[in-house]
Amino acid sequence: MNQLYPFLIPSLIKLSACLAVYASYTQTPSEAFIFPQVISTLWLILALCDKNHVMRITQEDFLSLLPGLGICIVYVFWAIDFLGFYTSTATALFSLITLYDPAPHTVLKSWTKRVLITGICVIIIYLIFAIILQIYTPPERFF
Amino acid sequence: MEFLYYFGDVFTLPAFSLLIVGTLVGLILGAMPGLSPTMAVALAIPFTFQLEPVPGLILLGALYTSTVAGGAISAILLNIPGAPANIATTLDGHIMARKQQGTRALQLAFFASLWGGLFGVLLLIFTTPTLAQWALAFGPSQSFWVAILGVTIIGTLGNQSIVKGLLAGCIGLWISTIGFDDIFGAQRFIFHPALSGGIHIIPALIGLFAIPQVITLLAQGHQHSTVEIIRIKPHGISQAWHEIMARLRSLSTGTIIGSAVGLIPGVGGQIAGLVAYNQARNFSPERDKFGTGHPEGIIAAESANNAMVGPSLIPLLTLSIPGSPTAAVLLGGLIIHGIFPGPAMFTTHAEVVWPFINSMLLGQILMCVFGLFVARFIVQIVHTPRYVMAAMVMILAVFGSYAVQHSLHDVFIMLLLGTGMYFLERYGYSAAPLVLGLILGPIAEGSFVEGMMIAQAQQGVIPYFFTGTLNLTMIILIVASISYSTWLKICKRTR
Repeated sequence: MNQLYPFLIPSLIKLSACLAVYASYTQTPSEAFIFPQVISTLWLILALCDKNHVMRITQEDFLSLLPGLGICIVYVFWAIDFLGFYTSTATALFSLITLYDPAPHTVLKSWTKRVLITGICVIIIYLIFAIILQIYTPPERFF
Repeated sequence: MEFLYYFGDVFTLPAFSLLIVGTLVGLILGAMPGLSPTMAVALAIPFTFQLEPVPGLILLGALYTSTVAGGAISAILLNIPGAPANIATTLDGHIMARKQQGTRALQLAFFASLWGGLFGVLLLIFTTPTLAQWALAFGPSQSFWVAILGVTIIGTLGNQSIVKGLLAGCIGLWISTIGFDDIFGAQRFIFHPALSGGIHIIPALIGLFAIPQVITLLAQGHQHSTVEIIRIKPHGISQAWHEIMARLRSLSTGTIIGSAVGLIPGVGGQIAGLVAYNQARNFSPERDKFGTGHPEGIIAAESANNAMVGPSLIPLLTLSIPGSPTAAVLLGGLIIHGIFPGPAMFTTHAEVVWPFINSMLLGQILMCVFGLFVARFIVQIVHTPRYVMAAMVMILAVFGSYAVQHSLHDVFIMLLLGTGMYFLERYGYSAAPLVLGLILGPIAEGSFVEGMMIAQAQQGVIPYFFTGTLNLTMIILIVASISYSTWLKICKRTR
């Protein structure tokens, strides 16, 4: 990882700084953009001054987090809206626990444990948000 | 003594119940390695929406107080600091635990935390109103420089790289300008309809502090726990009390150093604990025993990291400059409840601010009592697998972000900012200056625009912003913080 992508994020920051400068200096009314102009210019100057690029992540860690991050992205950007909050939460929680639990997948006990953890967590979340805090969530797709 | 007048407000049923709940939950979260105090407070903010400002802020204050102390539990019994502030505690605490003195070490840690914490909050109580009176002289130009000073100090002193710290602060300040401009009525940088209302502070706070920790926990998800479970034997509480009273030198060293460090914005509890530990060792006639399970090591470290809590709120409550990343999150919590920290706060919101501060005083006592009696049970919860913690934090982050405005867009923004922050952290950027830029951005811009208008009507921009004792003091402090950090880096490199 260190050899492959040392300039990836710093380059993205420089590119974002250029876009911020462009957006800040080309919009109207110009009075509303004085502060963003000052800040984006500083951002660009500092991004150009930033020479120290050391990526502190091992390939092993990166590969380990990818599937979990994938589940989180699917959960937030698709499943919540499509399945509903509680169904998608239960699915995401169960998937994450199953994916990262080092216990063998061939043993019934480990599956029971995963289902129990998921069930307890979703019940707690439901009690806190739906019952105590009375936060409205869109209706669930299946029930 | 105005604070005494508001003491009764802490003893109302909702306020006192939340103080107890916040203290207990804080101890548990603080003891869990990987869950930082900052993240705990950020995740709790959505829970306070439905509450009145006083109980809501009491909950946040209790969490802040007890998460720092809770970190000592895992530091002593598992050799894993619950939070960076507890790193120095592991040096002697875990060795004591290995010598079958775990209970004694925990008792000393909680008594030291109590004394340090009480001193810190009393310092907050007696100095803040005076400083707030002094800060009443601030006009738009001074408020602008104060906001810039806050971002600069956190960006420089609290970061390994000055450029990266300042860069993160700039990104935060720029992001804060997204959305509808209140002064000129312009729409700014709305690239997507989700950004039309700007970026709400709470989803941003949750994303920037919680999601990087979720991803870090997932990255370590497959690793088996190699933590050794240490059995602890009973130890008399009165014995521990007498012992701590007999070691006043290390207790006062830790307390004074912790309070002083807390006053410096951006430095944080980790530095407080380590500096206090080092000084206590230098002052001690038994310095050779430090690192071998010496009680004075625990006392100095724990009194320091808790003494830091109160003073870290002094610059926050008087000048809107948070003394630590957790104080930055608390600033977000105050703003959400319609309270803008600053000079006028003790007159306009005295009925909210004083009960909040008083609850931190009571919270120290509750933290010590709960810590002494439930620490041994909390350590069982600490063994929760990292992947379960990650999944739970992720779900709390999703629900917490959604609860703010009942908007899925907030959840998207939370995850995007958090994932981005994780990768930024891998390159040495930190979330604190970015968050501070995001929070202080509207204050900085509002003061900047107001100041520009006054300047154009009066003596001009340069004389208005760059002359006068207060303006020059702020500018000197900004330059000094950058110069001091640069000097420290050069010294470190040449060593």
